[in-house]
Amino acid sequence: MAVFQTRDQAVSVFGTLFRILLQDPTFTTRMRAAGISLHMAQTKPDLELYVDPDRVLVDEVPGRAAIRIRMSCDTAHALWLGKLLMPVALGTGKVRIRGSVAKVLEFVPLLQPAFDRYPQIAAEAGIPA
Amino acid sequence: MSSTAHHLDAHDLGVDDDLSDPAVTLLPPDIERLRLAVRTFARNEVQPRVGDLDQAPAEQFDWDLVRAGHAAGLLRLVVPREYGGLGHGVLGVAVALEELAAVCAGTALIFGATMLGQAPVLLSGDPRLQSRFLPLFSGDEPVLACNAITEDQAGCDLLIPENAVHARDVLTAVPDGDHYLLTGRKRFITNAKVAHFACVYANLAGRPGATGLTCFVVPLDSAGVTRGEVADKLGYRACLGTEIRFDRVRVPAENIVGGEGNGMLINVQQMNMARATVAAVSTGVARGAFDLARQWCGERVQGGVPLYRHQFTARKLAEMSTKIDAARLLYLRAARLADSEIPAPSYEPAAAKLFADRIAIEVASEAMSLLGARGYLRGGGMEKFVRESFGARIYEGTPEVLALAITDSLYADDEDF
Amino acid sequence: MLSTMDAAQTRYVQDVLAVHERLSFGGLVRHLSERDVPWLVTRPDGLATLAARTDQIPHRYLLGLQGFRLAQYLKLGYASNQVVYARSLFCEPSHALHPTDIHVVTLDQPSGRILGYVGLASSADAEPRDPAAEDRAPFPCEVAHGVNVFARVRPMPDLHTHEVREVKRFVHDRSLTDRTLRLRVSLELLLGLGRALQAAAPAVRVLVGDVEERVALRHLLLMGLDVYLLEGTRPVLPAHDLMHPMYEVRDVVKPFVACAPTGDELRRRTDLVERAVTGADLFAGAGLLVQHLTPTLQRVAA
Repeated sequence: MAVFQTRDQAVSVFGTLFRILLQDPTFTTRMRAAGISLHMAQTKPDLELYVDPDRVLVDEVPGRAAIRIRMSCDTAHALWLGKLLMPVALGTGKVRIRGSVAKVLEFVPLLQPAFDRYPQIAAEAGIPA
Repeated sequence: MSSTAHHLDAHDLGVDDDLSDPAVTLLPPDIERLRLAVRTFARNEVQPRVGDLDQAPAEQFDWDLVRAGHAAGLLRLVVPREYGGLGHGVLGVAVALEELAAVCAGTALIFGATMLGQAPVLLSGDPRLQSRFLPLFSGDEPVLACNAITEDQAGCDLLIPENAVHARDVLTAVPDGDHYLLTGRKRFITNAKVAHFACVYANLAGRPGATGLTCFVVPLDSAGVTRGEVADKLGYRACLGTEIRFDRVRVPAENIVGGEGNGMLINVQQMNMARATVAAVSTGVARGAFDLARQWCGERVQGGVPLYRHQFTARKLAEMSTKIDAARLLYLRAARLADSEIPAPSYEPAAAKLFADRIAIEVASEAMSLLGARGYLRGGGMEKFVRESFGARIYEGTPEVLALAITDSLYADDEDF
Repeated sequence: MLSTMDAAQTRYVQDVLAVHERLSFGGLVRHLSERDVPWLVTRPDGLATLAARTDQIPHRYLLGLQGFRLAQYLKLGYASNQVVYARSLFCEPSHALHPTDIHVVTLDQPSGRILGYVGLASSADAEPRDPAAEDRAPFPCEVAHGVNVFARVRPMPDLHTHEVREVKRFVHDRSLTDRTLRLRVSLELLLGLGRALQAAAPAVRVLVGDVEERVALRHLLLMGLDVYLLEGTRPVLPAHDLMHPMYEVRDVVKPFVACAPTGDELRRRTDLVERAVTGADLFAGAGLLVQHLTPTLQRVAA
């Protein structure tokens, strides 16, 4: 059974996650310095998120993001919970990334605070860990 | 100067240098600058030492050359800037390795093998693992790394996921509290004699095959590690290939890359990134041999004209030059794709290496015959390229392994992104 | 018995320290010799001291300096093992540095080993501000002590924040046990500091920071500074701050405001330090400094 029962749930959880990240000036400063923008194309339920240092947009992609990631919402949930490691997700094709690999390698360490916050965000949306 | 160099002139046409577009053959300005810098390094630092490096006893290692290469940034090309590196991708590495290999493939492999050892740490996405190992390359003293996968009874068996279950006597890792004990041997490991750490592939005890293969980062000064005798190789003599023995070497759990049992995934991704760079090494070897032949055929006069004016010779030179150009375009395509997709594709890197490895042998062989007796002399330079042209066929995938990777891709059910 | 997490954390910190033990930076002097840095000297015995701004130092060397700072503070117990582990740090974050911060480093040129360091941090104000203004950017020591030091000390009426620098991380390599070498490094750092102040534009008129009275304060007095020591603060940093142990493990730490000499007087004092450093008897030279420089110390309620 899919983790997210409704699209609104998924939008709420993942949108909140990235909005919280953007509240950290250290995160946005480093994102800006590295020229990173993110386009998350998630499926089942389908949603698209665009994230740059200034905003999080839902179902609106204003331009070609530096990093484009495609995965299912179930995979995203497992990743953020730490139950699925990124190298495994990539190696098994559960996650596919387009864009500058160098920027991806710079970006991944920046996401550490999100891993710490995700379980609480998911729980508040009624998503069990 | 190679006849193919005109393809690499730096222009700024305002072209959108989308690295995922394989039709763009011009190098981005920063990569072109890197290429020229490495070419200068190869000419000034490597070329004067080539003869000595090739003729020295097998166990001799030129740390001064490595130190000079490190000062030029060659040991931290792929290390992210955050850790003191230069933050290049596969494209930068490939271009650099072609320039080095055009002078000395063994020297290219010293730096290439270190990057191979850095790759799993980069692929891990684990910031603590990266913080503990990647800054090592940011100081002034050179630090080398290596990638330890090949064993006495398991070569290709550890490169092909479906074959891994047939691999015998693979290095084993036994859990011991929050550590693992590694026991076994790895063979023919480039840099093992001189590296600070190795990425070592071992099967978890009781879990043979691909599902149990696990990648560990192992400091090679750990108790229980023994570095064996240096292999006396036909070519690539500037770098050292050695056996490493592990006798209950204690490795902490946090040194695992990508989690237990995911070593084959790491290895496949690593190989797909590395094959484009090895194709560049083969291209460099071919180019180095071709440059000697081209120079000779422009100077040597027979029948009243330079050799290149004779039709059969012209045909040979044309074929050689075209093959080198094609090999380069293939590895540039593969490198660009590896820099713009994760996981790196498997088809393009395998195709690039398959082609480049073959033409390196063909071009070096033909170049030697064009030089006649002079090509057959030791110390003349050409016979070294011939010997080294065979090397790349052996590592990071033989032609047989590459063919399987290519056909797997041809018949894969690939979801459109 | 350590938990698995504690054991992993301990190993992580040990590994980070081992990385910095291994790193060497002798090439920094060669790189900076081609730039117009405030101070660069190499002594016949191989000891080199330099002063340079953040934006003059190549990035990997900057990480090396930030790593040295972190390593020594971890060994001192001033930096938090837990925060280092939680944030996967291997050096103090370099993005916290201002481009005009000054770094004074003494190193052993042949081995490339850093022996000592002191920094002068710039104000975070984009434009010069009245230091007494409540809404100007606080210096790090003010954040820790919860005070605007200039609310209690007004050394000169026309001062602005770009004329103020905070002295940070005056630290030796913890493995330096030779008393003579430690004094030598201290004096070389003070000399580098003086030469950096000579070159600073705008001129640095005031130094701030915080000190343990029985430890670092004597370095300020050795420079002949007029020091205002603020009494009665209770410094604290939150548990997620990398340096929160600084105010938990040390004796009483007090913020200070010190008038920095400028112009001819600065040159005179710095020349005295240089004579002490290059003289035959280091301890005698340091003693003469105390005689020739007349520091003052005033205590002010915070």
